[in-house]
Amino acid sequence: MYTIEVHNLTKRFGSFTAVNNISFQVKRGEIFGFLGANGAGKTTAMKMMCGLLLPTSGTARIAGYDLKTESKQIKKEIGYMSQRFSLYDDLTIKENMTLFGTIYKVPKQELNERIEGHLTELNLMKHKDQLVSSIPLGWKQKLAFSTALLHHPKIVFLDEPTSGVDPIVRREFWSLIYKAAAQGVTIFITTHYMDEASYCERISIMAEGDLKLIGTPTELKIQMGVNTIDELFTHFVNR
Amino acid sequence: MNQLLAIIRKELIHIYRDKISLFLMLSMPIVLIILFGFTISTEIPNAKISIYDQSEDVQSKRLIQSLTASGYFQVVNYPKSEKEIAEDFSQLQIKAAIIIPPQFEKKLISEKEVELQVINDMSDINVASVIKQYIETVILNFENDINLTEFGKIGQLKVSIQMKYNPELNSVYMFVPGIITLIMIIITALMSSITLARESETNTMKMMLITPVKKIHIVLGKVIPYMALSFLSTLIILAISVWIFDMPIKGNIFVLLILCIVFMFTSASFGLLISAISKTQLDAMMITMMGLFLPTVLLSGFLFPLDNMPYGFQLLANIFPAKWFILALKDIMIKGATFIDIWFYVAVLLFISTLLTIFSVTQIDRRRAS
Amino acid sequence: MRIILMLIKKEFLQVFRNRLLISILIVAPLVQFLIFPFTADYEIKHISIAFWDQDHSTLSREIIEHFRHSSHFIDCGFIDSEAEKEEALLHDHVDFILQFPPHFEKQMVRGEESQIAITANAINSVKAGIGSDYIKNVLTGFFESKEEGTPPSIKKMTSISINHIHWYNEKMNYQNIMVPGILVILVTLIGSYVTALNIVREKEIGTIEQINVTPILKWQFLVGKMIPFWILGMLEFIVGLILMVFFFGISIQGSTTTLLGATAIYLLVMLGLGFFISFVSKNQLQAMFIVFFLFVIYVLLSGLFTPTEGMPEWAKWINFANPMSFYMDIIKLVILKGAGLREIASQVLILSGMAVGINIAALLSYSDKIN
Repeated sequence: MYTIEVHNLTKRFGSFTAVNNISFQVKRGEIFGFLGANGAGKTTAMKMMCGLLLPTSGTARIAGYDLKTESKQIKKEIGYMSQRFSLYDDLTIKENMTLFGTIYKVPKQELNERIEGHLTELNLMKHKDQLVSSIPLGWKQKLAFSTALLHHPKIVFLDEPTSGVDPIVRREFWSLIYKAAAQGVTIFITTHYMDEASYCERISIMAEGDLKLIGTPTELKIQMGVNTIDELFTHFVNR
Repeated sequence: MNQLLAIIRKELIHIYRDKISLFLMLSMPIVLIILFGFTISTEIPNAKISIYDQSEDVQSKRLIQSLTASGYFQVVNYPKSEKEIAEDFSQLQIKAAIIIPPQFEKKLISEKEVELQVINDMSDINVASVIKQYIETVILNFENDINLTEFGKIGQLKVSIQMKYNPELNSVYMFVPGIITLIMIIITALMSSITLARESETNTMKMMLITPVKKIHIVLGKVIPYMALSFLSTLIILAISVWIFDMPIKGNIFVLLILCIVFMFTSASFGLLISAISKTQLDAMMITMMGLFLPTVLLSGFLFPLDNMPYGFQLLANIFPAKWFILALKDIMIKGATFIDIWFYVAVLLFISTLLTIFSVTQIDRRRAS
Repeated sequence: MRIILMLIKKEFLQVFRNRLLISILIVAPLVQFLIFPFTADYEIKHISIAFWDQDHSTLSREIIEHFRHSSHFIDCGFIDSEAEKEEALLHDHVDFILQFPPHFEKQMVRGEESQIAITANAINSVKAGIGSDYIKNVLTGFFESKEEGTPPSIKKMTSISINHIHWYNEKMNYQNIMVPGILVILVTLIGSYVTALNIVREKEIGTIEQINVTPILKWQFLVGKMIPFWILGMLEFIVGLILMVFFFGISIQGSTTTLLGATAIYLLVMLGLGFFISFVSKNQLQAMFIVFFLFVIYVLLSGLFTPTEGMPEWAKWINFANPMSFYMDIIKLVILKGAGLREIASQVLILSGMAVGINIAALLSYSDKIN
């Protein structure tokens, strides 16, 4: 039923608690927004779910597998796009996609077809042999997202994927997200753009390591008696 | 100015936080000087040799006795054939084999002329030349002994040797100036250019360039803290060399410190140059290593004598500041030279730094404009 | 397998696009080979000597003449006062001053004791030591030849001459030891530096994170990194070997296959070390520092520059953990002395052990998780 189940997940760095005892579930095919100011603990929480960071305590089941004991299986089922663009700058668009597709063991023939499909969709077919270092940020972000989808993961984790790109690219990016979700991929996205929060089916708000609220945007607005997500957000951040 | 101070402060915090690098940076001079001071020795205790005695008579036994008693050698085998000697070289790793000819006693006593054969392993010339020296010394003594017993005292000639400037023949005297040079280059030139390149690589540079801070300030803010650190290291090296290795500072300590400060600026100007031409940390490191560090080690005269080199290399050595710094430093510390004696070297260093700084600053500004 | 091949391909693509790295891989051996053998020569060759003759006798002049004919010394002429002596030494004009006291000849003829004073500029301790030995030898030689010249009525003195035979390097060529030493340095640098910095860089710019979320296995990643750099290291070595043989005319006495095999193992040690350092260090600066630190210690203790025999006991113990000294041994033994596999077996075994150990350590220290 749930593809992500998080129970009491906690991460401490020394005396600093980055993520404090958070629990929530995400349904299959859902677009789940993870909101919070910088330093609220979003990225830390996400990194734990991706197996990049060891939790101090708590458990989680990702795509049906236990975070602690079955991390290898989890890695096969997820895609990840980090906050910082982290494909290889000195490889071309196509080389990057082939590299990651191969690592995920997508059969060769199949992989080529998928890459071609993605590149056509992104209108990057002409540029497939261009070095990634030479392409604009917007393309890079879309490329990173497509690469994260190449192996048909069950869940894609996106860490502030649209920061720093212009509104047009952001809209294009969101249409890619909707398309993926429609195919049954669960989208777990962190953002600090409040307008993006309303594109999500459900959102949660983190502040100072705590999970403050969780629900659909409309529910939350009613619950807290505010008109916009923006207000909702400032409510927690300024406390 | 305030901007510059702010950047320096930020850099000092970075340096302080990276405890491992700081530790390595400050212990490097200590390790280097201890290694150079204690491990580089041209003495070879208990050198392994073989002796092929083809006569086995009284005198040859006496010669073997003097060889073993000399304390220089450890005779590991007494081979019986040339073939066996070859095996000793390859299996017992002997450094030399001495062949005493047949009828040694007869030749020595009645013919008064005898030739020994010494086979030397020349694959390591450094070792071989020391061993040769040892063997010659022992043979010479043996020869004198024979003559003494026959002629009585003939040694009217005495030779007195005064080892000026370095009576104990301490090899560290040669290395201290060289180590200071290397440390200055590593810290001032290499560290500053690498950390600068890191800022470009990790994009923090972009953040800084958005602010109204001048690029040259960013660069200077990097270089200045490392200059201070390199000066600290220099003081550590000087302290160790004086207190542990008994190296004198015969000249004026202020002249010495002024010289070090001048060279610190010279290294810093190299730091600027490397920062101006390198984009990534790997660039910075490789350019420093190949373009500055290696030539300094080879061409500064501290490890290898300059006058052995082909003329072209001797000329080339002049454009690297290390040679001048080392000359001046040695003169002040060991010979007690005054500022008047070394002004030329200081002038050369200042000239090189000025030239490099002007070039680098224009380069850095141009890059920013483009 | 497909993954590893892909990783290797990726690494080569990156290496070949990195113009600087490529130029370094090409320029580094050339520079080292073109500069090192010609500069790194510390044989004491040029000993300059000046004379202060206070005797002005036939004997003192004969001795000076004798020195002038000796090939060991560069004649710097005469000095005449204490001040001139100070001046000459202070400004490095001469290395040695030979001083004949007044009445030198008279004393010698009468059979009294007389003294020749040698003053050495001893800052270069090696030169001072060797030079003064040369001077003593020349003096002894002079008096011996003088005895021989005397009429046969006087008893002939016994003389033992030494015929030095030079094995393994007949021409006593410094390059014969320097060039193989450079090969060692080259392989070490490529193996440790380039790999250590390469992985730390991936850490710094974040690409390793993208790799870490994939189901790739640690050893796959490691092998994918190792093979390309191993190939590059071997290529460098082969290029160096070719330069050595054809440019410097140093032929390989032993078997080239043995040499390549030993190098292959040594490279694995260095690559493993590079990986280990890159995993434990947080940034390129740290990695560079650690590698550099080790490198300097390794080189100084390896016996390339000075004989290892004269080192203190503790330095010899450190040397047991110094792969470079074992490899240096192998290189010298195989190239210069034609040693076979049997003679270098212990070194090869130790290096193999080190290769296994350090690579296991690297594998264990590689965490796909951030602390």
